[in-house]
Amino acid sequence: MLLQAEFLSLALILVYVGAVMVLFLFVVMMLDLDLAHLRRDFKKYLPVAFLMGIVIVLELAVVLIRSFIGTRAPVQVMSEELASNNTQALGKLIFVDYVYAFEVAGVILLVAIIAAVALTLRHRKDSKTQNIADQVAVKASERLRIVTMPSEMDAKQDAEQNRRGRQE
Amino acid sequence: MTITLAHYLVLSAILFATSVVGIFLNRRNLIVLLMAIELMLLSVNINFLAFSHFLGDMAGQVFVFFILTVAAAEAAIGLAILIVLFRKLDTINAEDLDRLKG
Repeated sequence: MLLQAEFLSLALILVYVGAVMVLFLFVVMMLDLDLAHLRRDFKKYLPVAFLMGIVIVLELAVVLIRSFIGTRAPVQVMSEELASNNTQALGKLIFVDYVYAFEVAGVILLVAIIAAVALTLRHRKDSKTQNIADQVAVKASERLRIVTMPSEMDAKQDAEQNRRGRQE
Repeated sequence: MTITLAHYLVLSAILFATSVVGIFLNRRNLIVLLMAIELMLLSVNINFLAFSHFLGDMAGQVFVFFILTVAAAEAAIGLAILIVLFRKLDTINAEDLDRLKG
């Protein structure tokens, strides 16, 4: 069953359905495409392409079947313990024998994340944003101006005048 | 009838030929080109898995793992470049992309 690669059978489905397909779907959704223009000549080349595909498959099949039809039963080189627990065996292999390659794979994924974000990020000119650093570094002299001026009317006189003005 | 190594290899060859035909037919549409490249990598993965099983060597599965990583990274960066291109030129037609300085 599953060529005794149970971990990869699930990992491939999860990665392709969960990550790659969603990525493609989002891009197809975001782009406003003129498919008629992109598909022109599709019908014209269909027979040629189909023929070419069949020829490729037939050639490869002849070579492969003649070479590998004798390879029937899988040779049991793997020990019983490893063959029965695929995930454990794969983990041992990755984290012991191929640990540097595994680290490089992690770095590749990190580079891919940063590159994808850096490529598609754009700063809009027309949106207003706060600059937190400027707000924190502000001084009192930049916000508050103290003006010396002579006092005008008393507050009481002022209120009296207002009341009289309303009565009139 | 038992399934032999040749059956897996022919299945992988059929997948590969499908993606070649896809590139042939949709050579203007960059999105479909990227999908076809993903399919090619997947057919290589099937080859690795089949040989890993029939030769009894787990190392093939480790390489499938790494190819999977590189394929996912390639899809992410490829689609990001595609979006930048579409913003700048308003097209994803491969025939319109004929200038070096975008």
